[in-house]
Amino acid sequence: MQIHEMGVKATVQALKERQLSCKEVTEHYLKRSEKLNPNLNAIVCANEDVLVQAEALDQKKDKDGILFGAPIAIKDLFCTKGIKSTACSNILNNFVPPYTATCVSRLQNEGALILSKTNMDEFAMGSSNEVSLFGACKNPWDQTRVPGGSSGGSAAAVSAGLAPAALGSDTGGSIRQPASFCGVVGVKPTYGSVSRYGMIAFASSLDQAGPMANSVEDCALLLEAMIAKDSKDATNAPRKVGPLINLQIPSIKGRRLGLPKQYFEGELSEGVHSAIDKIIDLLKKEGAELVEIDLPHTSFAVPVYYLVATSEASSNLSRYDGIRYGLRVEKDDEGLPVKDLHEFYSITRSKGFGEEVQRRILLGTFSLSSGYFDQFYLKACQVRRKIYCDFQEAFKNCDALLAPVATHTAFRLGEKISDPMAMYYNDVYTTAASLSGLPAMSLPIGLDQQNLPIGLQIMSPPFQEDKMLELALKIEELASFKEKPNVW
Amino acid sequence: MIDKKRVEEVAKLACLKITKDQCAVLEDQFHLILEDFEKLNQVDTKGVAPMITPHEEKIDLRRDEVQNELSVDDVLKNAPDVQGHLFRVPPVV
Repeated sequence: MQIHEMGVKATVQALKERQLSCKEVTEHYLKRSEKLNPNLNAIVCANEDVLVQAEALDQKKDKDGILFGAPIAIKDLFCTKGIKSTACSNILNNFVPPYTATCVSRLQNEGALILSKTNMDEFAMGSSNEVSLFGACKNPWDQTRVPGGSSGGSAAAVSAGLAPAALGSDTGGSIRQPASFCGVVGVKPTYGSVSRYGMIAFASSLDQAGPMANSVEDCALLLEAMIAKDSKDATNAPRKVGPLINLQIPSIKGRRLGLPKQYFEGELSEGVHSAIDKIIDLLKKEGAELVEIDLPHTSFAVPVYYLVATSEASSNLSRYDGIRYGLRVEKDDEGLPVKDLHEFYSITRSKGFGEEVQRRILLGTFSLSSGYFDQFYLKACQVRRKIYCDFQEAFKNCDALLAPVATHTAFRLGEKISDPMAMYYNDVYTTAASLSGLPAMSLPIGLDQQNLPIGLQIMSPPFQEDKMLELALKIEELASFKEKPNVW
Repeated sequence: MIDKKRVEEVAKLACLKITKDQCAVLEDQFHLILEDFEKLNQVDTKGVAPMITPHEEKIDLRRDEVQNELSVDDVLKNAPDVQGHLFRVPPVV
């Protein structure tokens, strides 16, 4: 078995038992990146010190930590001390953070190494990873297709074996949808369970960091390290989630699993629908009780999400002003010095932000502006409450919800890029859980007729990541999805 | 609801410089987007408390104490222009 086929847990065990060295493991992934990344463009920056750090770990007598020696790829949205962190935006193209995001530090505290930084849609605003300072990332299953977004680089890196696991972030589906498109496992934890300190902010009431890996067990291992109270994030809750290591495959006899009927209507493709139906049949055979669930406000989730997220983004991104860090432009297009402070800010920001980011800042500024606040932002927050209440009702009747992640499998590069509405509605099945702060994940369950991966979404009540991951272990066993892309 | 003038006003509020061509494209796109988003009016939200965040418990604030976690030199390494320990900006008045 090659190193990249082992996964995190087996690699850590082999490192602790000295069957492998950290240097050997790290070199293996660096060589794969050297060979495959020029085509995939999943990785945008390597950690130049990673081999030295791996050798230092090899010298340690105590091989402590649940992630000892595991090289992890980190979405370029997370600040990593001394390593460029750009959010794939021109406005941060030279930014080298003086500190590390808490969730990344927590992985390091458990012995993980930062292997590389991964590609993403600029400021996590996108569903295809086509809008990046470094160019589009490709899907390892079919390089004419998108890997999904915004954590497309993390999903593609794990899928192609350029890293055994990666960190992503999910604001409206940015872990789950690329995980689904690339055939890997991706988990968005409950809002508040993982610290957001050091994660470059997009929409603060939605952003959550989460793991992506090739198995449920490996995601659980990373999440176990990441969940903890951090005083640097005021919305971070004391740990309420149970232990996530050594989770067992549960019996699901008699368990009530919900199928939200609105998620199986409309544009859902035949391929995705029939793959989920097969899983439902297998779960029934195991004694689970599948019940239809009504989530009546589902169709409003996309507009609510885009109003809330863009409003918060317009505020969060106002910090990029060219004064203290990031891009600064002091002359206009004709080479003349700026006339006043407003022109200085405006020219810097217009050169620094890409088209989609500017569109979202403008949409958010509009919906927060005088005369439109009540009609758009406030209304969206009220409907957000209705969406949240739908889930509260649903979980009175079932333990977890099963649904598609996306209507279709990975679409072609360029297919939706010029149509913002088509791109926004790509998030139709993922935004409701984000708005409600629920833990949710994508699990690969099969391939469609074009040989593209299909993900199943599991949503759980808040802080029940342990139960959600145990159910995922069961479905992983039933689905027995072993396929890998050709580059594997 | 939204016309070129409004797009220009919003761009000014957001400190973004947009060209006339961009303004026309944005006007069309915002029409489509906001028309779709108006479907929220179908939902009766009378008396519904807005949900600003899923974290609705009391926010646990830490004490506001000075901590020397970052060195000034490290922080200033990212500045486009510095003079001593100060951020230097172009003349703008």
